[in-house]
Amino acid sequence: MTFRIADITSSSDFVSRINSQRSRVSVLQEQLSTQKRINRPSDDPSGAEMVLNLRTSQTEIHQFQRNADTADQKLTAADDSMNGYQGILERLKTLAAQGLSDTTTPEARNAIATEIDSLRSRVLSVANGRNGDEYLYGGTRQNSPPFDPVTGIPAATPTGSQFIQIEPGGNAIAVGVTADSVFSDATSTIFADLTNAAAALRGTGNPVADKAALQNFNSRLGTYSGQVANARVIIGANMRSTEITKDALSSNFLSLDQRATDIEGADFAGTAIALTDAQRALDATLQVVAQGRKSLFDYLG
Amino acid sequence: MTINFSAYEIGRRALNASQLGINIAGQNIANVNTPGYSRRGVQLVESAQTSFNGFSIGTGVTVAGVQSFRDAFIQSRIQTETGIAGTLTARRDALAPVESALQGSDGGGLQNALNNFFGSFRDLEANPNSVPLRTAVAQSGATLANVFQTTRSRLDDIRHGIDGQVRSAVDQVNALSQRVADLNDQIRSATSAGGDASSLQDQRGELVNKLSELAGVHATNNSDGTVSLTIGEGRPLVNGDQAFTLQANAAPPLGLSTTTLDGQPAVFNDGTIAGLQTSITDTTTQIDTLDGLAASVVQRVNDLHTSGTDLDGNGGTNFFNNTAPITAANISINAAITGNPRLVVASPLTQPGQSGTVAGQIANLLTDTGSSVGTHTGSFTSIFGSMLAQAGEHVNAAENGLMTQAAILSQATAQRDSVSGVSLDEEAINLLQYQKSFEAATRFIKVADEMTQMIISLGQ
Repeated sequence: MTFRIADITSSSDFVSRINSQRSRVSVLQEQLSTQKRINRPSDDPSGAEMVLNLRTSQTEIHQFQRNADTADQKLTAADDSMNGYQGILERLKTLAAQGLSDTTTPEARNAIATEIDSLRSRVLSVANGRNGDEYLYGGTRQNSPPFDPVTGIPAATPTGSQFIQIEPGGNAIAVGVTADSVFSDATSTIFADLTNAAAALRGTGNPVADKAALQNFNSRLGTYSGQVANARVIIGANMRSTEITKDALSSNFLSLDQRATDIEGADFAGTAIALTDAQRALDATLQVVAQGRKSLFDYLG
Repeated sequence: MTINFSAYEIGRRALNASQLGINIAGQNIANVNTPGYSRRGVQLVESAQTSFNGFSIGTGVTVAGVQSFRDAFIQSRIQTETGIAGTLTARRDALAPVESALQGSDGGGLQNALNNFFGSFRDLEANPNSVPLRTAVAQSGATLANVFQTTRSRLDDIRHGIDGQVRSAVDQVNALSQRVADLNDQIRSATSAGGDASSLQDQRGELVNKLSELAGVHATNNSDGTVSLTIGEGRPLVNGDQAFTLQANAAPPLGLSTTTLDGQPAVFNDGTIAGLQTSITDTTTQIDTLDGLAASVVQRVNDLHTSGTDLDGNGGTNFFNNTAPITAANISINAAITGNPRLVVASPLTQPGQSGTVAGQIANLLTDTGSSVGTHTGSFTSIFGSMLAQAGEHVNAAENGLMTQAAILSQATAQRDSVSGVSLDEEAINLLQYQKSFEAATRFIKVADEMTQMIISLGQ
């Protein structure tokens, strides 16, 4: 005996079929309009968790990119500033050579001494120069200038290089040069050297000692030039490694984005086709329902 | 030939039977759309035979009764499946808001707040001397605390909303079980008096279905026509004409309800109430994890923040207020820091000044895998990610289960309807059949009458 089909079965069947087809259509429409397969965690709980972690890694990388930009900016500022300092050192070397020459008259020596004085204050302003809120050569000590703006005496508190972390889990890089590595060493500071040189040029009454002081000054300038050259090499290396890291970060960012999109993204063509199919199925159901279920009564007179 | 009037009696019985058949067909047609209606059929038997000249001859047709078509086995299966569907529907509807509360909007939500907060420390690491970046840190910290609080209060609202549904379901169960008990009483009286209780049974079947959906009741048919209903592990809800009262009592400290049946704790295995109750438990777990996450953020940020020095070289204060126990509801940023962002710490004590290493360490916390909250370990992100996945999993499992359950239920319903449901085709045929038999019976009476008239006219 065949299965009896009661009238109430077919109508409740139609209702549930139309409902499920409509909800299928609306799910596909949502996927198409958002371009995402996962619109809420319940769409794919484990996929949603992976996407969340990937997106957070992306945010983190984005933060490191900003740090790398800052590091780049600081390194560039330090390099620019040291470029200026190096120019001054070159000029000082010329002046020292002139001062050492026996043909230079006392008047000319006085003039050289005056220029050295003015260069001293320029070096002082370079050394105490700022990049935004920070002392360019302050390192980790930013509450006082590296050198006293009048006397040129170094700040008492010790300082270290500023480090910025520019990649996840990676080592931080130094983003500048501290004043004590280019403007002074264990022997003296450039400001004391300049003051002494100017005094020697003006004459202290002991020509032999003055000459020795100028010779010493000349060799000190060599020391400072060497320090600057060294520092610039390190800065250059750090700039390069920042550039490399920035490239790595941005390709990492893109690959994370790709992975997240692969997981949560909707396949456009596939979804569009599925939507067409779902709509067609719904249309068919609606048509069948609209035709109505005929019974024998329809044929009885 | 012997004249008697038995032909009239046969005709009368045939007319009766046909009329009743037409009535029943009408009744079935009228109830084609009535939920829970079981179709009826006339039970006809041949009347007792009499002996005539040594031959047995019939005396027509007798209406033995009106039968209603139902299958107790399918009916009880439908009740069981309805209970499971009730659980799943309740869970899906109750837990979908939990999912969206945790997910938050695009660009909003807890994960974004966490990203922004720890990101602001990353910015500070690169510019440890900046006051504006410290203001940004203080602001994003306040936002994070605020998002924790609003997320938690949404979850708490959801939890209390579900509890409200439990209470209203309990009220419905009480009303329905009382009606089942009343119907039990009426059906028992009707059947013991030999009457037909079909329509009462249909009504009761519908009520029991609703009770299955709400409370996952298990029904047992008794010989006196009553049904006994039990919940959970067999606690009686309805016994004969007696219905036991279900109660939802507010339990401290949260005021969430506990259910009792006739004064004793009630356990539900299936049905809306069971689904709602497990949803409350799941939501509570999420709230507890959220509280733990907030406490962990506070503790780890504070530990690092107090280990360093602020912009003015003073030792760091607590970044978040440390009023134990810290929950997502009371997490708040230290007001001194919002008042004076210079207090935000970026540098370590051993290296006073403006190095950004402590800010960097705090920023690293976002993905540092050393945090643990309850059963979750990992980074703040992965802990929150697993909360979100769990919320999604709950809804997803309920949705998938419900899809399967809907198919099972519609199959079982189709099976019941194939026994009990009305088919208009059949009724049309019945109608035709009884109409024809009515016509034939009328014709038969007419013939018998004509013959009788002829015999009578012989004597005139």
